[in-house]
Amino acid sequence: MIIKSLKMKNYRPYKDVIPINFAYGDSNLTIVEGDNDLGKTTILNAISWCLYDEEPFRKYSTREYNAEAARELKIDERLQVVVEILMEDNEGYDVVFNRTREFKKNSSGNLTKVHNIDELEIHTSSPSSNEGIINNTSKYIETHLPNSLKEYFLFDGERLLEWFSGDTKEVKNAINRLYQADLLINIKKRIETQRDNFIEELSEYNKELADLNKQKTQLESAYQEDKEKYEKNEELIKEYEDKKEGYEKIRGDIGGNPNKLLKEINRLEGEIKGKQDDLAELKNGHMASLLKSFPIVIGYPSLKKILSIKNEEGSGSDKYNFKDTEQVLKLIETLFHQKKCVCGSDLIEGTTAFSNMTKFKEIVTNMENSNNFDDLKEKILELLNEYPESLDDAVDDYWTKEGTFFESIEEMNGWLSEKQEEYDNIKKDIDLEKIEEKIHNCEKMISELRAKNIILDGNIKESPKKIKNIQNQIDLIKSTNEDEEKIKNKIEFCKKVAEHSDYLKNELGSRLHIGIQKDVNKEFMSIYDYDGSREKFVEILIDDSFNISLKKKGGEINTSVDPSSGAQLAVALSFITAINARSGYKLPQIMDTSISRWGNRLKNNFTKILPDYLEKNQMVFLFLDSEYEGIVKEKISGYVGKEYVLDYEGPDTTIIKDRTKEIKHD
Amino acid sequence: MKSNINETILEILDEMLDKKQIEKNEKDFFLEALKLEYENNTKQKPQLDGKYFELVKKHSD
Repeated sequence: MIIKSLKMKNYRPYKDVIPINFAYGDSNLTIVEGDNDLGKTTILNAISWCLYDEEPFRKYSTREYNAEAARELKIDERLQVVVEILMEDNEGYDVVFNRTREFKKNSSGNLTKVHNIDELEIHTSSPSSNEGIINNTSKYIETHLPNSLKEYFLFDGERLLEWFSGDTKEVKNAINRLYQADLLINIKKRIETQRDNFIEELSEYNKELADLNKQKTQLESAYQEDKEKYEKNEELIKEYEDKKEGYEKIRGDIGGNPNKLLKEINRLEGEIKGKQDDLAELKNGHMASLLKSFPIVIGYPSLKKILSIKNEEGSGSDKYNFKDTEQVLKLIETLFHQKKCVCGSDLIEGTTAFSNMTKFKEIVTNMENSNNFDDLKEKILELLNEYPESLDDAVDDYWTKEGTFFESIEEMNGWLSEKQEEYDNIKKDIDLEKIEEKIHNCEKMISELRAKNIILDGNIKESPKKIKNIQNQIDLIKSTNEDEEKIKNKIEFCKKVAEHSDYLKNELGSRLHIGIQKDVNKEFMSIYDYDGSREKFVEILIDDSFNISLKKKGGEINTSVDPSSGAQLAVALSFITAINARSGYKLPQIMDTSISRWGNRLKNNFTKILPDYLEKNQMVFLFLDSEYEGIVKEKISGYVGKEYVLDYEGPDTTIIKDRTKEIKHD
Repeated sequence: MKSNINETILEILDEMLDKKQIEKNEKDFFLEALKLEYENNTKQKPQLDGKYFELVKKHSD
C-alpha cells in the first residue's frame, strides 16, 4: 500500500495542522524534519492510533486529545480527535482510514470519552466494496497492515532494543499474512474439511448401500428359507395325514369300545389262570397217584412181561430181549430212588423188601450171561407174592384214570391255547387308546403345520415385492449419488491439494527466509561495511522465527542487541527493507530513524544504498534537524518528493510547514 | 504485483508444474482457490466451504 496523506486534528500536539501529503511514485521520499519533542514520533503514533487504536511509541499514556483544545472547551462542549490516513491499495484504489474519538467536557472540567460513535471507518473507491464502505475494518487492517508488523513500516529507531526483543512469533504470523502464506494455510484447512466431507459422504454412501444390500440378502435368504420350510411342512402334513389314515383304518378294523375289550381281556386272563391252576392241581394229583402206584403200575407189568415171554414161548432158554432187561434195571433204579418196592412196600435198608429188591437187581444185572432163568422166575414170583389178587384191577384202574386224566389235560391245554390266541389278538387291539391319541396328535400336527404354512405362504408372496423395493432403493442411491470411484477420486484430489499446500507454504517460507537472509546481509553490509574494510560482522543470521543474530569474523555469534546501536540500526533497517522488498505487498516505510547514532561512515554508506531502496519502497524519514544535514542532506535531497518541517507554536501545539517547494533538485 | 496473488507463489506453482510435481488441474485449482481466499480476506465475501466443493468437483473430474 502507498500512504498518500495524513490529516490530524486535535491529536496531541497537532491541533489544527495542514495535511502531510507524502511523496510516492517517481519521487518516493518524504522528509519530516523537527527538533526534539515537537512530535516526530507522534506522527508514528498517530498512524498507529488511527489504524490500531494503539500508541506503542509513547512511554506514558495520556489522553490523545490536544491539551490546548481541551482547555478551550467549555463545559458540555465536545471535542473531536481525528486522524485520517489516505492510502492507495495494491490494486490502485484509494482507501481512507478515519478514526474519530469524541470527548466531552464535564462539570469538573475534565474530558470524558463519548461512546456514541463508531470510531474507525474505512472507505474505499474499490468497486468490490459495499458502496465504498469496508464493514469489517479489523479484518481489512489485519490483511493489509497487520498489527504485528506495524513496527516494520512504522519504525522508531529510538526503540531498537524493544524492537529486537519483540515477539517474533507474531512477526512470523504477520509475515505469513503479508506473503499470503495464510492463503495457503486456509486452502489447506478448507480442502481438508472438504476431504473429510467426502470421506463422510463415501462412508455414508457405502454404509447406506451396505445396509440395503444386507437387507436384500437377508430378504432373499428368508424367502428361500420360507419356501423350503413350506415344502417341508407340506411333506410333513402328507405324512401325518397318511399316518392318521392308517391309524383310523386300524381303529376301524378293530371296532368296538376299547373298554369292552379290556373287560374281555380281563375275563380271559381270569379263565386262563383258573384253568392253569386246575391243570397244575391235576398234575400234582397225578404225580401223587403215580408215586403211590408206581411200583404196581410200572414194575409189575414189566416183570410180568418177562415171565410171559418165557411162558408164552414154552420151554427153552431163548435169550430174552435185553431191552426189557434194561428197562427192568431202570425200573429197579427208580424203585430204589423212590424207595418203593414193586409190591408196594417201602424200600428202606434193613427191610425184607430192600433185601429182596437188591437180590433181584443182581439177578437182572447178570441176566445176560445167566442161563439160570428159573432163579429169575423164582425171584419174580417171590416178589409178586406180596401183591394182592386185585393187582391187575388196580393197574387197569390206574391206567383208566391215567387216560382220563391225560384227556382232561389235553382238552384243557387245547382250550388254553385258543384263549391265549384270542387274548393275544385282543391285547394287540388294546393300543386303540394310543391310536386315538396318535390320531389326535396327527390332527394337531396337521393343524399346526397348516397354520405355519399360511404364514409362510403370505411371506413367500410378499418377499419378491420387498426385495424389489430394496433393489429400487439401491438403484436410486446409485443413480442420484456419484459413484464410489468418483468420490474416491475427489478424496484423493483433496489429499494431494493439502500436500501441495504444505509444499507451497514451506517453499514460500524457505524462499522468503533465504531471500530475506540474503537481502538483509546485502543491505546490512552495504550500510555497515560498504567497502568491505571493516569485516567485523560477516553474516546476519535469521532463524525460522525471524530472530536475528550477527556472526562475527571469528565465528562468535552476537544477538541482535549485542552490537552497537549503529550496527543495530543498520540491521533493523536492512531487515525492514528486506521484508518489504520480498513481500507481495508494498508497505510504506515510515521511520523515525535515529541515524544520529551513526558516524559519517555509516551515514555515507546509507546514502549510497538509499537510491536502491527508493526504487522499491515509498519512504518517509522523520529526521532531527541535526540528522538532516551535511552529507545526508547532500546525498538524499535529490530524491525527496515532499518535505515538511515541524515547528513550535505553543507548549502543547506543533504546526507543520510544507517545505516542498523549497526543495532543490539537481 | 501483476495479480493480487504473491508472485512467488505463482512462480512456485509454475515450477511445480514444470517438474511434474503437480498436475495442471491441481494448479488451476490453486489459482482459483487463491483468488477466492484473497477475496475472502480482502473483500469479505461469505464463507467459502460451499465454493470449495464446486472447485473440487470442477478440477478433480
